[in-house]
Amino acid sequence: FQPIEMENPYKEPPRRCVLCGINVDYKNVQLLSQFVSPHTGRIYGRHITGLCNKKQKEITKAIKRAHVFGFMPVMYKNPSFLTDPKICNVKY
Amino acid sequence: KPETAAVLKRTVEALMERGAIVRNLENLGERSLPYKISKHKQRHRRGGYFLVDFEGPPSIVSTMMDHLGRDIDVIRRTFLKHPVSKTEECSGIIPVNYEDKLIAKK
Repeated sequence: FQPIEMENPYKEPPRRCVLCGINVDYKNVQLLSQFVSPHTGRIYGRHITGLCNKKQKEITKAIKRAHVFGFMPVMYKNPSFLTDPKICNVKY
Repeated sequence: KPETAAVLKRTVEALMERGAIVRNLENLGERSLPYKISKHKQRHRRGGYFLVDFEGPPSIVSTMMDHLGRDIDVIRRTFLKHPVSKTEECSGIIPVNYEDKLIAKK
């Protein structure tokens, strides 16, 4: 008997990042603030957030836009969003 | 509150005057600004956010920025392209083959 050529039947579905399928907008400051440091307000890098290429780029662009438009504070995180659930694996 | 209505009316009329079709006007609420903005010799702490959806020729952007810059009641003026939401086909993280990339870039 010859081995049949077929696709790997035990293939896992591709790993999805946290925002796969969610539309990123500069207006929802709460979502954007989850990827920002609470002490300095700096944006977390890809190794901390664990997002795919596209989503990380979209998030950075949206955060910068929110800074300029006057939706999100720059040097710190909005205190009302400090008790949000942790998405990024930050080690303080 | 009638002042904000007057400001909005002025801006919308200015837009229509330059040949823009206003589609929608949204009020994103009034809240305290994330940082104090000083504009027109005044330090502002609270402001109202409005979003105007309009279609028009790109040449009116510079004239509108000029016009809104002279308006005392407008704290920050910004123009944005209409966002085309296109996130329906987000396939997961595709593992990148770094070996192949390195060899191919010779």
